Amino acid sequence: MKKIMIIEDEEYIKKELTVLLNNAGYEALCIDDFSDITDAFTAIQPDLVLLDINLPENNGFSICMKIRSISDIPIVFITGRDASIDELKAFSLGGDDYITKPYNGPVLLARVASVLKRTEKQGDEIETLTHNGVVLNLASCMLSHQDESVELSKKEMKILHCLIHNKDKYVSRMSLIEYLWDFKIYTDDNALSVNITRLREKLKQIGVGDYIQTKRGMGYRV
Amino acid sequence: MRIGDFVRDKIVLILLNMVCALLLFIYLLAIGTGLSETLLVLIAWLIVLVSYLLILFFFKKKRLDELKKVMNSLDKRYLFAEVVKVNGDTEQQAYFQLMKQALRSMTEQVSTVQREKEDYKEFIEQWAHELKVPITSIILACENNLDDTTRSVLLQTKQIEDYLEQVLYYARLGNVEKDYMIKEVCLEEIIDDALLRSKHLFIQNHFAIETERLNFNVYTDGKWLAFIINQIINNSIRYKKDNPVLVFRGTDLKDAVQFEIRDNGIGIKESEIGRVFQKGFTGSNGRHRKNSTGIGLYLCKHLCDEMGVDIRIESQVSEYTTVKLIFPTGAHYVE
Repeated sequence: MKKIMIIEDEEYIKKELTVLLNNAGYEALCIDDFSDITDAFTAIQPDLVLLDINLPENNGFSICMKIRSISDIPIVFITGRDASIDELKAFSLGGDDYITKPYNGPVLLARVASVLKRTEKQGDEIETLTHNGVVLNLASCMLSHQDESVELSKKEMKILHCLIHNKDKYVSRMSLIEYLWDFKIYTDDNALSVNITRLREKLKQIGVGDYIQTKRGMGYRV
Repeated sequence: MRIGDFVRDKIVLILLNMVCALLLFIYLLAIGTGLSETLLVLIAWLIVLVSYLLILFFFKKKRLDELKKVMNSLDKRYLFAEVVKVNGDTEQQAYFQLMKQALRSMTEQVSTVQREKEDYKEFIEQWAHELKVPITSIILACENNLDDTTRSVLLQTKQIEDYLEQVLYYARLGNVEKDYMIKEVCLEEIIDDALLRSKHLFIQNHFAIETERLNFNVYTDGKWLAFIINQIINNSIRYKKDNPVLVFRGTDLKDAVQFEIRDNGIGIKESEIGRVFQKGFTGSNGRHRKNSTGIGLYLCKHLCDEMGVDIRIESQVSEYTTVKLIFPTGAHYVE
C-alpha cells in the first residue's frame, strides 16, 4: 500500500483528505508539527507528499527544499495560492504537480495517481481479481470462468472491477457512472444500460449468466 | 490664440488710444501745429502702439503654446499645475495659484479613491481566497459520504466555486497581465480535469460526452484555459435541452490548433450573438433563466485576447452552440 504524507494545517481538510485517500487504497498520514518535518518524514518514509504552502511556523516551499535535500520522492503541492509565480516556484523547487484549492476528490486522486505512475519504476498493482470463481485480469482485460474466457472492453472491465470491489453490496447506477468518470470514461445513463447488457451477454458466454444481480432502485451486485 | 481674439481682448486699450489720439490731433491743430507735424506725431504713436501689441501677442502666444505642449505630453493631465512654472504678472500668478489649489484638491481626491479601490480589490481577493478552504472541505466531505443529499450539496457547492472564481478573475482584471505563464500544455489533460471538476453536474444532468482528437499540445496558460473551458461548460449545462450532448473536438489547422466545444442546447439568437462577449450581457436566454451574470464570456474573451487566442461563437436557436478556441501553434511563435 502506498504511503502518502499530508502536510496541511486545516484540520477539516486534513481529516477529509485522509478519508479520501484511505478509501482510494492509500495509507494517509498527517503531521501536526510543521517546524521541523525532517524527523517525521524519515519516520514515515512516504511514497508521495501532499504539501500545502501557507503553513504556521514554516512554509511549503522551504519544506519542499528540505525534503528534496534528503529524498526525491514525488511532491504534490495542494494550495489556495493560484499565482503563476507560486506555481513556477513550486516546480523549480522540485515539485511534481501543483493543484489549487478548491479541488475535488477525483481531480486530486487522478493527479496523485498520474504522478505516482510517472515516478514509479515498477507498479505493484493487483493484476487479477477473483470472486465466485470468476477471474478478472485487469492487465489484459480478460474475464474467465473455469476453462472459458472472454475479452472485455475497458468500460466493461471497469464496471465489473467496481462491482467486485464492492462485492455483496448493491452499487447504484449513479455510483457506477461516477466511478467510470474517475477513469475518464464519460458515460451516461443510457450508455451504461447498453454496457451492462453486453457485459451480461459475455458472462453468459463463459457460463455465468446470472453473475450480476439487479435490484430495482438499489443497483447491481455480484 | 488667434490675432482676432487678441484684438478683441485688447479692444478697450485700442479704443482708448484712438480717443486719446483724436483728442491730441484736435488739440495740436487747435494750437496751430502744422498738419504734417501732427500726422507725424500720430504715426509715431501708432507705430509704438502696434509694436507693443504685436510683441505682447507673440509673447502670449508662445507662452500658451508652451503650456499646451506640456499639457499634451502629460500622462495624468490633472497634475498639470504641479509641472509648469509660473511667471507672469501678479494677477496671472493669483489665478494660477487658485487653479493649482483646485487641481491639488482633485489630485488628493483621485488618490484617495484609487487607494480605496485598491484596498477593496485586495479585500475581495483575500476574501475569495479565504473561501477556498471551507469550499474544499465541503467538497471533500460530500465526496467521502456520497448520497442523494450530499450529491445535491456538491452541485450547489460547484456553483459557489464557479461564482467565486469569476470574482477572483474579475477582481484581477486590471492586472491579469502579471499573472500568466504561456507554456506548452496538453489540451487533453486540461479537458479531462475540467470534466472531472464538473463531473457531478454532468452526471446529474444526464449529459453524454464525446471527445474527438484532443491529443494536441497548445501554447497557453493552463490555469486560464481551464477557467475558460469551465465557463463554456457551465453555459452548456445552464442552457441545455433534453438529451444533452457535449462534444469536444480538436482540429489541426496547419498554423493553428482549433478546439471546439459544441452542445445541442437552446442556442443563441442571431440578433444577440454579436454581443455575448460584452460585459453584463445576458440576452433573452439569461433573462428567462435566473442567476445569469453576463460576466463569464466577457472574462473568457478578455483572457483569450490577452493570450492571443482567438475565441469565436456560433449558434443556431434550438439547435446548437459552438465555441471555438483557436491557438496559434509553436511554429507561429517561433516566427
